[in-house]
Amino acid sequence: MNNETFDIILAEDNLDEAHLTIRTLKKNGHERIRHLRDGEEFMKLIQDPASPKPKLILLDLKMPKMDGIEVLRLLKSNPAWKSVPVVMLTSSDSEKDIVESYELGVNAYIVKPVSTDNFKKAILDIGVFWITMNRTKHS
Amino acid sequence: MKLVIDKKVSIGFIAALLALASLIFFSYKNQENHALTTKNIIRQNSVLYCTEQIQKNVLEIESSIRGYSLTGDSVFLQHYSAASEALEKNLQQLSRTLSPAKDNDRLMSRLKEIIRIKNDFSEETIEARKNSFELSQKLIASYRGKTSMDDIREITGEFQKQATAEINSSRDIRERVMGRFNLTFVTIIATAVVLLAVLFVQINESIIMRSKSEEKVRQLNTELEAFSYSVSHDLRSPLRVIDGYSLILEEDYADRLDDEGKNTVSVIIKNVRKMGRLIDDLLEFSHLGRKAIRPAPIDFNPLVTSIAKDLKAQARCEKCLIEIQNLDTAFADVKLIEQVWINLLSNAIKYSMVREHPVIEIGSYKKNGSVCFYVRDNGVGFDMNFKHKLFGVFQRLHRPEDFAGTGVGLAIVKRIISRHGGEVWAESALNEGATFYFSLPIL
Repeated sequence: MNNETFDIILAEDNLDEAHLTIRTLKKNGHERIRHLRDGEEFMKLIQDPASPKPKLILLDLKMPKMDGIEVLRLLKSNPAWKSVPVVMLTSSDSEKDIVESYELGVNAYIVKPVSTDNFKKAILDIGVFWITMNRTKHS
Repeated sequence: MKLVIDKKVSIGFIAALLALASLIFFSYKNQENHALTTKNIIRQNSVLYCTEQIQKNVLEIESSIRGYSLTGDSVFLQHYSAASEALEKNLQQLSRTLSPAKDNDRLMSRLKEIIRIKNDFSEETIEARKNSFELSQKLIASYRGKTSMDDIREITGEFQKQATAEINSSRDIRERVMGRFNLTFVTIIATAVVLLAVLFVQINESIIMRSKSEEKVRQLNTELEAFSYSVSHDLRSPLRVIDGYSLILEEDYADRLDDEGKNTVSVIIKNVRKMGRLIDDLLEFSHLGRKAIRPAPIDFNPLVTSIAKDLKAQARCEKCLIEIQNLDTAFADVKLIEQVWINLLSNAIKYSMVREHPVIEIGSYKKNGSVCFYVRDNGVGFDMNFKHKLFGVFQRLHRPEDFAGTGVGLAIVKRIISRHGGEVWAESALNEGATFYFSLPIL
């Protein structure tokens, strides 16, 4: 396993979208980002006790093999990963998904807007807020 | 609620009711007929009885005369007068009960005549016996009494024959009528039963069909929900990518693009965002159709005042004058009806902002069991010829470069109001402002 530490883990199946998100984050000073293609990849990471924990997880809801809700359930039931802030990213505003995510303990839920400007703003505001929060808590 | 009755069902029920009503009529008629024939039979039986009694009385009279004539014992005279009295009564009874026919009248008067002669003869014999035994014996031996006896027997026999014939024919008629009635009874009952059975089958069928189609509608709704879910996810995702990559072009490659290139990128971005808004609006519209309505009494005064204030600030329209009359209370789902006010008021502001002094008036009134609300502006208005297009999805009566919007706002208003059981309508003339109305039922 790659034991390099990352600030942010982004789980997103759409490469183009992932590229845009990563670019936005990098442009705003968050260089150390790890991109995971699907839930299964994420599961392996969680199951490996040696893998370093990031400061923030950006999780896409709809992914092949294992969706965001299932990954979230795994994260929140694992003592080592439980305290890492998770922000859900999704295109759906289904009430059921929102309620379920918050019940599982997600820190924020962003319905991806079409406009990249708005998306950037949401990711930076909320993501950076949680990174900051995490830093204060650990220090 | 309006009562709607299926034409076929109502015809069937009326036919069944008519059949049962005719049954009542026929059974009444039959009863009447039966009573009539029975009465006739009783009458003819009485004729039979009277004639028999008359024959008996005449015999008694004859034998008491003979007895007296032989013995001179006054006991026979007592018998005689009792029998005469009874005869007189029976004669009267007979003439009352006899069928009124010309022949009968003639026979009856003959019978009376013969009996009178017979009575005279009897009196004569009694008188003769008082004077001499021989004279009375001679009178009896004259057979004058015998001849009148035979005549009486003949006439009464004729009456009896007639009465018996009448009784028989009445019985026949009664039986025939009874048989006919039974047939009618069975036919009508059978018809009514068949009609009701057909109706039952039809009603049952339509009930089953209805529950089947309700099930289908539920299924379609679920499918639609899945559909709009995938629309929201799968349609927006590629749009976002186009938007993002166009932005990269704009941000990182601007120095390598000439003016036309830059313009092209900005047109792409503008249209991608417009499509995003359309998708969002369409999704909201489809969500509205399925959301459960939770109505509660609402005091619209504070609600509308705060919406008006917010929208005015949002539109940065300080010159807008919004006048709110005292609004009636009505039953509605507060979240949904709030959307209605937002859409109507933002439209009113949008289309009147071009005026030097935009005035928007909000009010309500009660009419025919509904509360009607209206929003009136002095904006650009619309041509009443196109009013049927106002509340359709993506229908716009103005050019997008003149007024922004996707054309879903009024469709949403209409959907929310019709889900509350109310109506929406509008009045306007081009360049003379518009008034939008909606009604909510008073619960």
